[in-house]
Amino acid sequence: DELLERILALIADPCDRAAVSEVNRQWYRVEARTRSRLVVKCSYAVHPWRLAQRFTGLASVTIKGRPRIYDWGLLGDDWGGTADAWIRVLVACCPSLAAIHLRRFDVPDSAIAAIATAAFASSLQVLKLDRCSGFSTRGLLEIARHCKNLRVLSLDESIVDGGGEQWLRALADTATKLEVLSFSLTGIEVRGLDDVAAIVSRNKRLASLRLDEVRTTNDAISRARGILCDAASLQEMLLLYRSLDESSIIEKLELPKTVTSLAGDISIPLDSGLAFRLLKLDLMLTTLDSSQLSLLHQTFQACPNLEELKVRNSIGDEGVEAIAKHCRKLKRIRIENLEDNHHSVSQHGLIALASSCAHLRTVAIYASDVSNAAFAAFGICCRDLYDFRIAVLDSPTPLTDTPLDAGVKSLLQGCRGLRKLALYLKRGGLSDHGLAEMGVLAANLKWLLLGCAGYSDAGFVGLAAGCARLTKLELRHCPFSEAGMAAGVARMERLRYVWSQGYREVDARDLLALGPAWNIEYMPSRDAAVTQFVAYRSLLGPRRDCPPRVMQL
Amino acid sequence: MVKVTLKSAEGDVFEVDEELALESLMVKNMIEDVGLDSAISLPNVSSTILAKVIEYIKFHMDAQKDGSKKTSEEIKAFDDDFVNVGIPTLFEMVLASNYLNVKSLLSLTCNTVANMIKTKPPAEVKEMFTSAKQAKA
Repeated sequence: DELLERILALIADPCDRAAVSEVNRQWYRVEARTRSRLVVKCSYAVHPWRLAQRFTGLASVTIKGRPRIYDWGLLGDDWGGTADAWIRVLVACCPSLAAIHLRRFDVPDSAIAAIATAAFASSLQVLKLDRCSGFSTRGLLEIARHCKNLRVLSLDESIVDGGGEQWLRALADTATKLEVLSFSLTGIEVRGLDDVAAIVSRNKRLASLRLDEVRTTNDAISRARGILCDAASLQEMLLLYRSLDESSIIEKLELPKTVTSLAGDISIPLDSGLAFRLLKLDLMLTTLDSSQLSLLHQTFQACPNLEELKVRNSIGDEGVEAIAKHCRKLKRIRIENLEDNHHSVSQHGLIALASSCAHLRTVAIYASDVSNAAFAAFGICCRDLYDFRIAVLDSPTPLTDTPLDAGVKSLLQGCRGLRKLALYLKRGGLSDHGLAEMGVLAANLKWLLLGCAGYSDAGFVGLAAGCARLTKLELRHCPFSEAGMAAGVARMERLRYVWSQGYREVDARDLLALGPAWNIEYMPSRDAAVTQFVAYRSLLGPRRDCPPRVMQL
Repeated sequence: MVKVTLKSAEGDVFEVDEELALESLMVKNMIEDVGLDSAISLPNVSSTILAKVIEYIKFHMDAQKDGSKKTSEEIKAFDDDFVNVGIPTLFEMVLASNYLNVKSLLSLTCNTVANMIKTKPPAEVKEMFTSAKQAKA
């Protein structure tokens, strides 16, 4: 046992650990005792007690609650996904926990208070609650008071109720080891910068500071100015700022030379020294459109070292071409959609981007149009792609180039490392034949989103014949029937989650062919385009906190 | 140079320098307890494995000596080659280095086993382990 423990201590990858646990009873026991890190991809798949009984030495736990589509508002607020049961078990059974990461959960303040008073509270180093809801700054106050050794406190994109500076003040009083303090897009308003400045000056290793809206006066800014400037470890900075004079707070604060990542309320063009150092830039809140050609070039020319960029699609093809020309080291790019938008990105921008930025790993773009040549350009030029997402914007104009079978085929042929793929196209975007070819080439994909793809069930079944490693599948407005989807899903052995909306409704009971290992939650609607179901593998059987409008089949 | 006599499970006798023998914390304790007069018997280690362990310690002691021209690449090449053996032998070496308490060899062999387990599907890990077990029995 002792030797086995020694060997297993060197194995971290969850797949390897799973393989080890299946060797025999002794290995299962030793593996369970020595597993320190656990990731639960679906909170309804297994009972928390069951896991806590098996893994007794957990130090780090990541649990994912609601499905990803919840973020789009498609499941309704009352879908479920409360973290109570999980937190009760963690508090009761995992005394050596040092890291908790909950994603897309409803986390009431009482559950947060339970974390704050748990046996592990004083040794808790990482608390991440991203895209969660249900809690307020009162819960955070408890955390700030009791978890004095936090290194990471991250609440990004959670909905946090209540304002008040009390929790931030408490954090400023207790925390000294913070490396990441992040609450961007949470709605937590910060009044004044004194507490933030106190946190920065007391936490010498603070590397990432991402705040939400800051309301402050020029006095407070000048008080905080010197402190921020002296923060020798700060690498990442995000501030939103609303003021009457419309000038950017980041301009008024002098940033230390260590800052390489900037987000929030940024006015461009940036200071050239700062821009040259930047590796990450988030321009989601900066208005830039394709008509400002010289400003676009000026902005991106100044940042030749950028590896990660987020912008709005209002920059148009002209903007993407400027990025392609100047930012050749890009690894991740996200071009978000902005409503009421006349400028947009099309295949021309995509081709320019692919042919200049050979190191791209993650691409997520809302485009107005896409072509075979654009997909092929990524397949030929960007061999390192890991995550590729294209969503074609809804508009009456059809795609210029259909079907996109050949382009998608060359993308998959070129990028063998691709694990995540989203193709949200328009009617006729991918044929049944194209889907079948995709299946053959998509053996490594783990996540797939298809929108408006395929012509009939035959296409889906053909796709399902490949996709040997697919674990999550999302379908929207694809013309497959329940029986066809059930038949396809049955062929994908590793698949554990399917969501489909706006499919060809025949009879929801056909989904029962998936078998008892699947929980199927059916959400009918008079509008066929809105009818949807979520299906996931579970050891628990139907869940109990399902709202009445959701039918469990 | 003082010599130490080690006796393997089969009763074969290995005479080695004391300096080398002391690399095994288990042997070191035995010498402190019973002295150097009699042979130190190691009933849990076979001759083949003991010879390998001695080879390993000797190489690393030489490599650490002043004036040794061995580069880190050469040392790594030796280590890689050293553990490039069948799974049964590798498992025996893990057991032996644990029993003899030779820290560097234990971490080398454990690492090798861990790397062999990595990325393998469950069935293969199982097969690998049972083949080692059969060889031992």
